[in-house]
Amino acid sequence: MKSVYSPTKLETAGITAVFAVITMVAISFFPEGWFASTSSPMPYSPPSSTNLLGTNDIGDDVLRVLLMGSRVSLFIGFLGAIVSTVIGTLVGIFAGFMGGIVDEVLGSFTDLFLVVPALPLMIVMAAYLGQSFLNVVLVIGLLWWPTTARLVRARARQIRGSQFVEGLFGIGAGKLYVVIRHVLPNVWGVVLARFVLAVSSSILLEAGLSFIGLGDPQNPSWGMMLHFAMTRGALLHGAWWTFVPPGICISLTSLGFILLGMGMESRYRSRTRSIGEIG
Amino acid sequence: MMRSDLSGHLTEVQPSPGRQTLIECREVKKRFRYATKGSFLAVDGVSLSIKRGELLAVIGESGSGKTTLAKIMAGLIQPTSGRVFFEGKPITSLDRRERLNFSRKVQYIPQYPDLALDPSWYIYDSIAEPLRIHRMSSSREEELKIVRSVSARFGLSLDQLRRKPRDVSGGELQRAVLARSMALNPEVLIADEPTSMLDPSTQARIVRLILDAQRELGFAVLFVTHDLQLARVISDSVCVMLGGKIIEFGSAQEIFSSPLHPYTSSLFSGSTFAGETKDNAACPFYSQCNLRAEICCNSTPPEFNIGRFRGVRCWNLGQPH
Repeated sequence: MKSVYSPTKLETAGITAVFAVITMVAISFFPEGWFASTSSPMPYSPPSSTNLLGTNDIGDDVLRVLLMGSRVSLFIGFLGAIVSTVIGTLVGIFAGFMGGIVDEVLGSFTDLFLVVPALPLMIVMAAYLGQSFLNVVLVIGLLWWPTTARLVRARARQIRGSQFVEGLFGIGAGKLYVVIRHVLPNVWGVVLARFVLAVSSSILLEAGLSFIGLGDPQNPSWGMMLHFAMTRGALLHGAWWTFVPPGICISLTSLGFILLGMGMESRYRSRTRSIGEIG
Repeated sequence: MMRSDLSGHLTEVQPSPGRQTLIECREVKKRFRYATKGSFLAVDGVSLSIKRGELLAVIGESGSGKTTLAKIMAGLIQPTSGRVFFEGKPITSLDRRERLNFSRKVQYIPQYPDLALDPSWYIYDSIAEPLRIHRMSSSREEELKIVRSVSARFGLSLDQLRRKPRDVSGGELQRAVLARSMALNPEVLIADEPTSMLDPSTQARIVRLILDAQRELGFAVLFVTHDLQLARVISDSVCVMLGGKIIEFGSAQEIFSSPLHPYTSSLFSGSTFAGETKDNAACPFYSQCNLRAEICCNSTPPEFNIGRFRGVRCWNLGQPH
């Protein structure tokens, strides 16, 4: 039987890492006694059979905080990616499909966001909006769309100039119809690949913002764990178990999504090449 | 030169009596601007009409403006100047409903079948799409019935309808494109070199299918081609294009038996060549014409009417070449 989907090595590595994070999120929903000690030992206890990853500055089990943090990091990652991908896709399709002055205006707007250094602007925005879970999502979403918009615009422009779109106008199709029924499905591959890469970027950005203290302390993420480790003397105590596990989790998760996104992007490119001049 | 013998100056192709003019363009010009600098006049003051049930062939070499003219007639691109009329009304002034009616009655078949359909759609859906846009079927069952009927006419099996464009051959794809156009039961079919990308046996089959459908359904055809033999065999009337202008038109029999324009003669004899061109010459054939005179370079020849449906744009009108 013909295989429908056979992942590359890159995609396999990415999928494995992503599955590992999803498993962590799933475990975090189990009753607490299943995965972490509910007793209250001393602060900064090293890893032991009772507390597999030791305890932090207030005597919380690091494994428990890590698993809870996976929910927050992944949720912010996905939500930030959704916001940025939706904005990027809409701007890209509108600019690429309409062309002319609309394209020029939106293109300049996108370029403006591309040249502005995103991280300092995010820090300013996050500091101005305040420490809230939704503000972090908003900041990431509003500042991380230009790359997606650029790629989608290029693809939409290519499709707009294709013969089959000309034929669609010839049989009486309207612009909105063409965009929804033909352009969107044809840019879907690039949008999905960009979305996966945006999840990775969002997780990293959230970690960065939380690390410098601009995250939501009510919902501690992996970045916030690093922040607490730095500000509450874990480094001085030599409590490596409080910052190494979240650091590894952030790195592997974002790497996993990057590998998956890169694999999807190259798969999509080779597919459009094999189709030939789709547009 | 027989200027004194000129019987008149045509501004448009005269419709033959008894046949209703469906689509008509008057003094249409199309200038494409280059992305960097300059522009190119692809169609230069063309007037043309297609009557109900007629098969009009537009012939000429590559770059003569045939495709641009076909797309202007189909309403796919806007002319720089001049107007296109459909059933007597300018297409630019059609309201939404009339525009939809125009897009149903005038169908365009592109040159490259492999680019004509959305690669991500099944062929069935591509054929059914115009029916959905024009709400010509009240249910899925009716849609299936129409699609199967029109597909059967063009020899497409249910198995081929279940495939995507990349999974069928060029000939099958062109038949699918034809079936899609025919699903709307058009009154005018504008076929832009529909066979140029196909092998000879498939070409013959596609042409046969178009002719059979035309005989049965009675629609008019504007057939753009550079295949002179094909134009001679299938068409009622012929327009010869050069440099964006129609330089000669008439019935197929007249054009092929006694061409009047030196370019038409050389086209039939296969003696045209990419020679030195004098860009600012009024006649596009000036640099290659054996009969050129001073006036050919300085003054654009008008369309001279000879008989009821015969015209030529040459100062040497009346002299056999």
